[in-house]
Amino acid sequence: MSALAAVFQNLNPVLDRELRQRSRSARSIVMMSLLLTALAGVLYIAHLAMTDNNQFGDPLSAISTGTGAVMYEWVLFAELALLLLIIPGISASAISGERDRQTLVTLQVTLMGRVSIFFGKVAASSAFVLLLLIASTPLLAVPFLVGGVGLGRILMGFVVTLCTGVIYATLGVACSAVFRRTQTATLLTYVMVFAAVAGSIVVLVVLAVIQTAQGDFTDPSRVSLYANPFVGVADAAGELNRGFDFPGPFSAIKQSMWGEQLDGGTSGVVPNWATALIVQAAIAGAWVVAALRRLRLPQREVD
Amino acid sequence: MSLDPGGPGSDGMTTVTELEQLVVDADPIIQARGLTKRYGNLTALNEFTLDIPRGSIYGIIGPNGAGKSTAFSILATLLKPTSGTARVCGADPTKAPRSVRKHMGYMPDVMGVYERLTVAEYLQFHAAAYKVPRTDWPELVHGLLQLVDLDVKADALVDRLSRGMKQRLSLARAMVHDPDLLILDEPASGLDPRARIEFRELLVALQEMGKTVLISSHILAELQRMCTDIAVIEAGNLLAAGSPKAILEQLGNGRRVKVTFEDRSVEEFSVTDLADQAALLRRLVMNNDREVVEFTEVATDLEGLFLQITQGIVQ
Ligand SMILES: Nc1ncnc2c1ncn2[C@@H]1O[C@H](COP(=O)(O)OP(=O)(O)O)[C@@H](O)[C@H]1O
Ligand SMILES: [Mg+2]
Repeated sequence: MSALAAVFQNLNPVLDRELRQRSRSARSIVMMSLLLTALAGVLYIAHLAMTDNNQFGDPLSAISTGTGAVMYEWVLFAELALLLLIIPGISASAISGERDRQTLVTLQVTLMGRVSIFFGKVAASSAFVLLLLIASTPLLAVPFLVGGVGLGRILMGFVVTLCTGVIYATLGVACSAVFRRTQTATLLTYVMVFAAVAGSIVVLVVLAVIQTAQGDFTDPSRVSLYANPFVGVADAAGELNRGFDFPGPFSAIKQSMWGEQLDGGTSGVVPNWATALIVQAAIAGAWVVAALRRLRLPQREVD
Repeated sequence: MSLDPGGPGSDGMTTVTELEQLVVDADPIIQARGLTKRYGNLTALNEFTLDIPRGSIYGIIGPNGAGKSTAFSILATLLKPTSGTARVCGADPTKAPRSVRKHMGYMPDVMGVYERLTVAEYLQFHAAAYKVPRTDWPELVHGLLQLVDLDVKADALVDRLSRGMKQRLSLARAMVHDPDLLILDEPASGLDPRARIEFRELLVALQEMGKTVLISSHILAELQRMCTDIAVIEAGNLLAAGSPKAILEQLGNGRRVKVTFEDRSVEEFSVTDLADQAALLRRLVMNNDREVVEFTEVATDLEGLFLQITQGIVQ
């Protein structure tokens, strides 16, 4: 952690200070331990389920049925779900917390500028997401050793999950700049995460209902699902058309999203996971614009 | 708490500053012109027009809610005025806040504190935020901590400091980029008398370093001894401005003395200055008709004056 801090030290004063403060807090260690414990539990349960299913206990059959792949998908799925629960909590107090502690004004009258302050905060929250992901890599190594999942796929899942985490951390920091109170900012970030996960599906269902009512029985547009964080990671971490009797969650999502299309959705031009990240980043970007406007000085009211 | 024009303090300091002003710079470091801030129907600051000369310790006095923090926030590039303009350190705080910040240090009325950060790190962080080169930090931090008498606390955690220490650290923070102007919003409020005296000494040291200090308070006693200039503000309106002495003169009837005679009768006399007061005393003592038992000054110090002004007795 301190080596990492040294690298970032010259980049941004806010980032440097936040890393310093965090390294002295027990909170991040506790959070990391809880996450790893939960993921280890998921890994164990997935393993039990898969070995029960693999009646012959044959290591070769483990590879053919993709035991490792399914374990990997469940661990990453759980990790993404937990990250989406953790991130609003750590990022949505970034700026409103300084307001509460009366430290924002003294930071704003320096020569740092609102953009540096904002992205220093984003980097600090993102660094924590990165730390959590790195800490959980040993748990992803287990499915790799079990077999049935390649290193490239694990790496892709890692990168897209990290990017997704950074996007929602940015969203949280932006909310904490826009809203004066930490509770409001945190609540709104959770609402937006929920909207991205559940709302994108609701939109699809509503579209389907409307189309059916109009006598149109073709598949409704799935474009709203690109805003869903699980869909983006599914494209990177899941697999199409393997015909497992027991697909992992990401492969299941990927199959239902792009399974019918032989070319696999938009890929060829831009990979699906990239489209999903771009859609989500655009939503967060709108909030970033609002946040930077809110941080501009002088203001009509002092924070 | 009487004003002592003969004593060491405000009088001698005024002369030095006035001289310096003439020699060094006739251009005021702050020029406020008709600054007005409205929140809905409430006028927090009304047509605030004031020049702050370079090298002065300028005190703004007013009760809570008078508009001191509002005026300071505008000058410190934080708040947009409803109307009016200002120049601070040669730039417009609304249009060119960055150029103002380079030369201005601001200490807000509430000192915010970071958790899990040491005193030295706190200053280093702000030095970085003010773009002070990293190689200069050790010397800078050492010098500032010595100035505010916190060098033994360099490795202490900021949130463990006493209120007086936090206040001094906050002042050191406002000085990391060696500004010409310091804007200090009620820095002495909530300090015990001893910490207040220490803070006052610190301000005098700052003036000797050639800094201009703009400071506010709702307690007169804090400011009258150390300020070269004073402005009185109430309900957003500037009521009087000038040297403490000039304000007294501007408002007339200088000093008042209360004389108690042998027969318990009490009379008040107006005197223009100390010599006049001595002459009065001589006259009364020479007068054998009535013996003087007690001879006291009535509170015509700034505190009394302040009460008079803000109660609308004198305007
Ligand atoms: N954001 C705000 N919204 C509405 N009224 C405000 C706001 N900030 C300050 N005021 C009002 O403006 C007046 C001046 O406040 P302030 O400048 O803080 O006074 P002081 O610093 O002299 O105590 C007060 O009446 C205060 O209630
Ligand atoms: Mg105030």
